[in-house]
Amino acid sequence: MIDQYRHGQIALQEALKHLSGDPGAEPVPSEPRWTKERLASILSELDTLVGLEPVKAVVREIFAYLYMQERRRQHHLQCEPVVLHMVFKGNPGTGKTTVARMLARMFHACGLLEGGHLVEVERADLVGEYIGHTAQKTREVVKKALGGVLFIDEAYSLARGGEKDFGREAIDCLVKSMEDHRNEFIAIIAGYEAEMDWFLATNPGLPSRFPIHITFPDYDVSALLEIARRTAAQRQYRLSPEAEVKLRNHLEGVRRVAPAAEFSNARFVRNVIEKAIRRQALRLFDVPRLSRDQAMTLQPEDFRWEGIMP
Amino acid sequence: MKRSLVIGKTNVGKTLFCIHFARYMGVRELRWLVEEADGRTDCRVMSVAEAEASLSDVHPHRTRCLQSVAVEFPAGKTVRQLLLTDTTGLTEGIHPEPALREAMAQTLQAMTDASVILHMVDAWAIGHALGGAAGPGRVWDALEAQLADFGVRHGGYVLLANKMDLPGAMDGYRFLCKRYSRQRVLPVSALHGTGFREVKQVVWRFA
Ligand SMILES: Nc1nc2c(ncn2[C@@H]2O[C@H](COP(=O)(O)OP(=O)(O)OP(=O)(O)O)[C@@H](O)[C@H]2O)c(=O)[nH]1
Ligand SMILES: [Mg+2]
Repeated sequence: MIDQYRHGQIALQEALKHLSGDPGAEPVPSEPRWTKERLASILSELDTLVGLEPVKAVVREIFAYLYMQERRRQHHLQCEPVVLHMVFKGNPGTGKTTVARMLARMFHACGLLEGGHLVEVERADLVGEYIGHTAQKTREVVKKALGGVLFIDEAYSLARGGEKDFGREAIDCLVKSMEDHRNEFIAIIAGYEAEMDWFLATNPGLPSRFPIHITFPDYDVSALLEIARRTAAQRQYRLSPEAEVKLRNHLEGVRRVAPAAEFSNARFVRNVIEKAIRRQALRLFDVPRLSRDQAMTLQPEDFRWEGIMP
Repeated sequence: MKRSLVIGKTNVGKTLFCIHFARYMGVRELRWLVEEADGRTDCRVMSVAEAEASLSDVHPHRTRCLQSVAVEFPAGKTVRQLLLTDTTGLTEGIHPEPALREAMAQTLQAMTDASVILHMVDAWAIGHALGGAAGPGRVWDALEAQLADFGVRHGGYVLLANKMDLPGAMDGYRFLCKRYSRQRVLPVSALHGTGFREVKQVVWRFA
């Protein structure tokens, strides 16, 4: 070990650690935890997402940075601890939960999270009914999230109730847990952009603890159509060209009239497909003999929007 | 002869301590046993004043070898001798200069078979850092913590809080006492010789 230091292969502290017979002393990793190829394969999961280019760009940046830290460590250069708690801003159905779940897997794949699971909660899961109840509930939620990602949807609602609201207690408890379990889980707080900006601005302790901000843009119509195709394909269905035209026209109409924040994007599209699948079954109920093609194809008449939240 | 090794980061006052502690122990003429990092040995004789002028200064890494003087502790009718060894200061990471790495490796090697380890730190610098806005990592970095860790496991370990004559050093000393409440932390001034009696009382038992 002393020789290794002499030859400039390891840092002095490492040689020392070895000399003191520190049981925790690990052999010096000569290889980084991840290779570039491994990283590329982890990141390739991103390509399965439709659109979301700005989101993908930020995620690639985070992983490039983590990789760089690893390489710097090899040269015994200073490495900042990376804080990975994040804020996801965007309208409903823009892929926030999907990306959070994917990130949990990716961080797990590169050894940063032990479990890699996602615990998705909202205000009601954190806030209790009496004094002390909230801290207890929040702690339990955090416990479940250890080793994974804690995803708090509509997090701004925790600050909505004013001074006496128990939501405040949940925020404080969460922040404390983040200190106590540093590096043991990643917290992601999510919600509408304007609301999240307000939330961060009114809770001065929060912005520094959530350094990574990702804004999820609304999907444009062609991205929504692509999501429709994929959702159908996952269940071995497809849209006839006429059905696609009908869906496109409708989506264009919705985009024009509904305020962006009230349109549920991918969620709407998925619900439409679900409903179309059920209507197709009804339409073909009395048809005695089906071709494979018929059984797979969704026609324009299967697409009805009534009763589906935009 | 058993060896007491003075270790620590560069510029904390190891050399000055060795010179003045030897004088305190009655040495008038310093006969240095010099062990170079490449294995050569040498003997150099000089007065205390000469040693002060030529061996210790404000530049980091003035010392680049092991240099020892024998000090005598009267023990009943006999005297026990102990080698007081000054070392090359240690720095974190991988030092870019091969010759210095050689010298630091020599310090590490010597640490493995010393009877007593005197870990010297600059209490004044610690006190200063405590007052500043820098985090605790700046005050007591990983290297110091690991040296202490080594010492505690090794046994015969004493922390010397040096430069106590400077303002603010008391804060540094208190920090060390608190952090190493189960170890011996002795406040000294290598420059003025304060605290040497306590050092003597601890060290002679290992001779
Ligand atoms: N005020 C004060 N200054 C001291 C004291 N001890 C050492 N110094 C000063 O600190 C500087 C470094 O002292 P050295 O004895 O050369 O330190 P060292 O640990 O041997 O350093 P290197 O051999 O260069 O690693 C010199 O300028 C000394 O005069 C002390 O107790 N008080
Ligand atoms: Mg010196």
